[in-house]
This record gives sequence, C-alpha cells and structure tokens, in this order.
Amino acid sequence: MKPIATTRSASSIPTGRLAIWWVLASEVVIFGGLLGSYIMHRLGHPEWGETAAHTNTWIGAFNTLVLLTSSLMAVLAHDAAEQGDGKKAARFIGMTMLGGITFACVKSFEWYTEISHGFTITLNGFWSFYYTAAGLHALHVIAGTIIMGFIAFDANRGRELQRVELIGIYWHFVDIVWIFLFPLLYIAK
Amino acid sequence: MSAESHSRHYIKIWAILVVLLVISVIGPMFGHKWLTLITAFGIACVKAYLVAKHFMHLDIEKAMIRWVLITSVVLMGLFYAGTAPDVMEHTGLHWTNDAAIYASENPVHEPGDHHAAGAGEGEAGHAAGEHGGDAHGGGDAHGAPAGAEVASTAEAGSEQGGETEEAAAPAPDGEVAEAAPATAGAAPGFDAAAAFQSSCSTCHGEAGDGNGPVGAALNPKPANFTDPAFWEARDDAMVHKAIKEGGAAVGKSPMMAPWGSTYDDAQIDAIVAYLHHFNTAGGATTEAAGETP
Ligand code: HEC
Repeated sequence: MKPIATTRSASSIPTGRLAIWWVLASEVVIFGGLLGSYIMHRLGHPEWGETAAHTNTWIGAFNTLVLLTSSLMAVLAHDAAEQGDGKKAARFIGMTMLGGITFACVKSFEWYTEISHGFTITLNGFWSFYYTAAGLHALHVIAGTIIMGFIAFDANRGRELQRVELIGIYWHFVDIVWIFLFPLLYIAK
Repeated sequence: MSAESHSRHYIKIWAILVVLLVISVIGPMFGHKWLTLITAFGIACVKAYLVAKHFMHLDIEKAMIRWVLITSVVLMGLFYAGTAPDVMEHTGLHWTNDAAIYASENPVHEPGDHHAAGAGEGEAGHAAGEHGGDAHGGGDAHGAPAGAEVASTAEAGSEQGGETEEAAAPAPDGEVAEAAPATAGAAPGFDAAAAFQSSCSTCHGEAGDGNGPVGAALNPKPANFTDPAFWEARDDAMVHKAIKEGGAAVGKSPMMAPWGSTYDDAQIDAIVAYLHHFNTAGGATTEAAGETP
C-alpha cells in the first residue's frame, strides 16, 4: 500500500505535485527576495556596472544554453513517463543530469578563474551578490541532479513514474531562475 | 496530440528559447542602454513565460496553483516596494547612508583597487603599511628587540626598509625625512620626491601649488595640493586613481595624463603619500609644505 501522502488529494491535484508547487512558491520568495535586493542595490550603486563588466558573458550564455537544453530533456522525460516508458524516461533524465553536471563544472571553472584573479566575495557589493545568488542557484542545480539520480533509478525499473514530472517542474523552475540571473549578472553592465 | 507531435512541440519551444538567448546576447553589442535592457529583461520574461507555460504546463494546471504562485510573486513585489526606496536612495528625510555614499564615491572595480582604498587616512605611514610583506618588515624593524632571531624574509624586508631609510632621505627637512622612509617602504628604492619633481612639477609646481611653468597656462589649472580643501574632498583611493588612470578617469581634465604605465601601484601610493606633505592643513605637514623644495 502506498502512503497516504502520495494518494490522498482534496484539491484534485496529485499530492506530490501540489507539494512541489508549494516548494516552488516558497522558492519564488527566496530567490525573489535575493534578486530583488540585488536589483535595488544595483540601482542605488551605478558604479557596480564597471565591476560587473568583469563577468564573462560567454560563459553565462553557454550555461544558459546548457540549462535550456536540459529543461528540454526533462520535459521529454516527462513525456516518456506519461506514455509509461520508464526506460526512455530514465534515459532523458540521465541527459538532464548531464546538463546539471556540465553546468556545475562550467560554474566551478568560472569561479575558480574569477577567484584566482582576486574577484572574491568580499571585493564589493556586486561580487557578494554574484556569489550568493549564483551560489544558491548552483546548490539547487546540484540538489536537483542528485535527486534525479534516484528518480532515474526507479523510473528505469518502471517505478514511481509520476516523480519524473515532479522533478521536471522543479528543474524548469531552476532554469527560470537562471534565465533571470543571466541578464542580471552578465548582461546589465 | 500524438507522442511524436508532443516532442516536436517541445523541441520547437526549445529552439525559440535558444533564438531568444542569442538575441539577448547580441542586444548589448549595439550599445544602446534601452535596447540592452529590453533584450536582456524583456526577453528573460518571455523565456520564463515560455518555460512556465510549455514545459511546466502551468497553462493547464489547476487554477489553485496559479493563485499560490501569484501570491508569492505579489508578496515579493510588496517586499521590494517597501524596501527599495530606502536602499536605492542614499539620503532621506532624517538619515544618510554613509556607507553607501562612501562606496559609490570610492568604487572598487578591480581587486587591486582595495589597496588604494585601504590607504585612506592620508598618512604617509598608512600608504606604506598597505603592502603586505613590507608592512611586516616595517613592524619588525621597530618592534623586534634585536631582529636577529627573525632570520626570514620578513627580516630581509625590514633590512631593506632600514637601508632605504637612510638612502632615500635627501630632504633637508625633518618632516620630509620622516615621510620618505615610509613611502620607500611601500616601494623599496623608490624616491617619490624625485619622481614628483621630474614628472609632475612642470604642471603642479615644485611646491605642489599648481603653478608650474606648464601648469600656469592650463585651464582648468592643475590641482593645488597645498589647498586643504583639495584633500578634504578626496581620499587616497581617488587620488591614486587620478594619477594611475589620468584626470579623465575621475571626471577631471584629460590634461592630467595617466601615469599607470610609468609607476606601479606601490610607487603611486608612495607619490600619494608624498603629495600629502604639500597640504597646509594638519599639524605636522604645515612647515613641510613651506619648506619642501
Ligand atoms: C601636463 C600637465 C600635468 C602633469 C605633468 C601632471 N598633472 Fe596632475 N593634473 C593636471 C591638471 C590640469 C589637473 C587638474 C584637472 C582638473 O581639475 O580638471 C591635474 C590634477 C591632478 C590631481 C587631482 C585629481 C583630482 O582628483 O582632482 C592629482 C592627484 C594629480 N594631478 C597628480 C599628478 C601627479 C602625481 C603627477 C606626476 C606623476 C601629475 N599630476 C602630472 C596636469 C598635470
């Protein structure tokens, strides 16, 4: 028998999906607060523009492409899961994970370069937001990638296919956060 | 929709997203502020919408979910509206945000800027102290009883500091002599006074009053370092930047050329420290200004 949490639903929304949306609603406030604070400080400090010029637009753009593509993989996984094809879903989740791993690797390379050039979190307000916002986002990428490992393992055996959609919703949200971080940290200079 | 057309639909959305990404990268290349803002943030909104609608299926999700999310976004907007005015403005009815004002007047753009920004107090010794190893060396020279046990690089540093102390004190005046070693500590072997006389005095005058032979003809006139008002309006970081990157970099006359390729940061710090001697305000430097060659 399945635990009540996965079967009962008063809102006619599957409980798991309702839960993931609640998670995202709170994430909206977490990231929204962080990005909102960044925006208001950035508007109050036009001089940050010059220091922001040191971020690498190409790396940021490449990582955007990586996340957009991994989102496509996540939605294709969802599609496969809906057709009951667990193996195919697992393969697509694997590709999404690959995107997450690529993103994290590019990010570490980027940070390594920046830190070794002295652009550390303590340099000025811009860089402390840069590392905090991108760091919180990167933690979401890493967490999502790990969770996807478990879900792909199950899906490959045809189990818990509904979770494929749930992790996908989460992943698209992480993608959306980056869609805003990219212009905020890399383009507005 | 068949499974096949489902995935084709998703791929189409992905392709649109990639095209939008390309546009947002190209946008800033035209250098129009508004175009950049639109291609950056307008497109970010469109992309977010596409992902939310087509990948997260928010359009066919139950209305309740949309309300939950909208509530979050509205709360976030409330937070922003309530906080932003105080953060974006640096002064208000009964308050000023001194830290923010200082930060915007003394921007730190590059890691190196920290050095300059740190040398704020306007004392020669301070500028010297900013340079890592040398600061230690200097401290040891005075602090360590004999210095003999400290047989390390720090020792070497202090020795060197000690040597230049004698060597680089050609000034006739006690005050300048005291300053010279301090500046030499920042840039060992570098004589700020001589550098000023050879590079700057034609415009800024031998006495630092802005009345050098070339300077007299300039408009605006070269800065007058004897004027206390000059020093009150600036800190060392700005003076450092003006010397390193030229007048234009700090919104001043381009006649003040950049010297960053002639002098390195430590040497410029030493020059900045030396310039303070012209200042007619503040006890110790009063006589110095009059007597400096
Ligand atoms: C060609 C003439 C010229 C020479 C040489 C020159 N300066 Fe200047 N400098 C100027 C002028 C003109 C200004 C005033 C700019 C203004 O007020 O718009 C100025 C301004 C400055 C300022 C003040 C900037 C500010 O914040 O207002 C500093 C500091 C300074 N010079 C340092 C130096 C030093 C140090 C040297 C030698 C390494 C030097 N200058 C050589 C012409 C010169």
